[in-house]
Amino acid sequence: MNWSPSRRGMLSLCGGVVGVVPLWSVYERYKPPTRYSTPPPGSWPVHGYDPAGTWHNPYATAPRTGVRLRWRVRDRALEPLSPVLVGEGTVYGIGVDIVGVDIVTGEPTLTHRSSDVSRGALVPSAVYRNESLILSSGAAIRALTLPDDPGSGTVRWNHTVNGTDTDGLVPPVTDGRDVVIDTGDELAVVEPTEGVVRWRRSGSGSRPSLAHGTVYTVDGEQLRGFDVETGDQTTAVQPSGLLPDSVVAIPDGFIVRDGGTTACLRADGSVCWRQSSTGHLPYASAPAVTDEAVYAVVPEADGRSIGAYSLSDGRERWRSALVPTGLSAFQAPAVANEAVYFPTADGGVGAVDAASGETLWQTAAPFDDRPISAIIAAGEGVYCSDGRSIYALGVG
Amino acid sequence: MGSSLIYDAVHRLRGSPETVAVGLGAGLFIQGLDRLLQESPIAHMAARSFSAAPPTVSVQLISQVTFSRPALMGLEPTWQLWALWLLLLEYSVTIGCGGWLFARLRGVSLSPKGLVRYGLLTVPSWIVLPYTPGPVWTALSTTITICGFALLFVLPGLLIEGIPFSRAIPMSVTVTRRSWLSVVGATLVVLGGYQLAAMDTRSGPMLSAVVGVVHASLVAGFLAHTE
Repeated sequence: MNWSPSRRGMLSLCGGVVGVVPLWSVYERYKPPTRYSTPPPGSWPVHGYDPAGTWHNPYATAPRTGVRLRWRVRDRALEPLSPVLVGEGTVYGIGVDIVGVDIVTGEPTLTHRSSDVSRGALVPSAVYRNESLILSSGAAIRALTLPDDPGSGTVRWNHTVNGTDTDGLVPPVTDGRDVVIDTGDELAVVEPTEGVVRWRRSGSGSRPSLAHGTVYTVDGEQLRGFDVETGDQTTAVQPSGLLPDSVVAIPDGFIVRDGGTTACLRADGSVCWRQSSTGHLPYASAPAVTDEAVYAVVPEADGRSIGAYSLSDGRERWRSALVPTGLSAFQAPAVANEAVYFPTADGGVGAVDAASGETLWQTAAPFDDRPISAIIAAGEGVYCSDGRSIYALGVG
Repeated sequence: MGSSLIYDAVHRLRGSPETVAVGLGAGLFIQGLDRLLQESPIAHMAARSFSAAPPTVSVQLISQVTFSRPALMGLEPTWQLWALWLLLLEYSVTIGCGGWLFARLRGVSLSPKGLVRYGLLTVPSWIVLPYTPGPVWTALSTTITICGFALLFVLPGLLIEGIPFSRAIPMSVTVTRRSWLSVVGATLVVLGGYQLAAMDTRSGPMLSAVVGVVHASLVAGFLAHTE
């Protein structure tokens, strides 16, 4: 054999090298999105605002004085009730349909029809132009790449999962890099860009709280924590005398709710303080937590109120005169701009001062006499849904 | 003639070991691209299935991973370019390697026109059937595939020689009909080899490269016999 490479052969070889080097250099520049504990300003990308589920948006300048309806968008398939999400200038309503509307004008930007009820979380991506919506329906998890122009988006990946939560009521939770999904049967952490399932465990059917690199869940008895990267169990505590149905991780412990009782737990599960009430809530409503206080719906013998407790010692600061609705499962009052926002028992929206509990404003009931979801506060407005429409309220 | 075709193909390869080296090199290259694709942050899917070895009569270097079409929508321009570049590189290497193998084993020079015509043979592999095939359809399509593949068995060798499609297709059919059984035998060997390579999750591209080299050698040998 006498094979000497020709000039053409050498050129082909060089061409091959030139072809591969840019591929490698682009790939090497890839950095996955960083994990956040507080989402970017102007957004409310996940149910509960942040991965921990504090319902406290420190960036929002939501209205403290009288508000008016800025826009209303109708879509009849947004039931069952769920708070809206906000990301990159768009408000998303998620039910059977997934609807996106411009946050300023209320013009539609996304209409995605589905056959099952979903809950969602918005995640950024290092390789896609727009955010993605990760949707959990109880039977499946899927990623929707959001469109540049008004459209229906593209389902990027779709996985079936084992779930008893067929109504998809437990919302997915994200820290910007991973998405935690609890379908009732299954707790899973999914890489959102490619849909790779990092790990799966048995689920609890509660809204997970993601903080300090750990996924915390409660199953009505135990509070458990799993490493978000590996799925290894790192925490398992049984709070004394409590059967928690919702959890929010705080820097050195947890705030949990057990029906109408609100309690603070240390990292080892021991109780720092507990505030109980005489009444009963039909389902688990979550607390809102700031650096100083905890806000929660408090059932009373003759109704309900919003109660504020000092985070450090649990001392009750005030109870609101304005009466809230019971709030649906996993929902809580929203805290922003030193005010607490919630749907009122008479079918409107109300706000009370976060320091004193005094009523700041309340709307009449412009919501077709339908119950409304928990309020979310992003940018300069507050937003809610009644399952058939999305509402934007603002000043002026 | 069937066994002599195989014997001739192996003998031909022993006389041109560079074809084996180039084939394996191309297979290794595709395997590297697969790895890059697998590690990339774009959603991809495993392509190892019956449809991973599409019935094209050109030499196939079977990739084990591919991007799902929705995963390519909405990408940042850099990543869109990156993904398309990667796919283009994969096709270029497959077409270039196949064309070179046929030309080398036929002892003709590789012309750009011949290479373009040969490249068009890979187009059917881009077409995805819009429905899930059932058992009846699978049996029917397999029969049609084998018959079609056999009738066009020598087509790539003729195209590489610079013969246009309008003449090469009837020539291929005529040549094949003269030795129908031996061509069907060779077709089964080649298609079976590609299917095995498609199912090999670790070294599919390398295995398909080996099959590809034998495929090219079989075509060259068959054409030499009928001349």
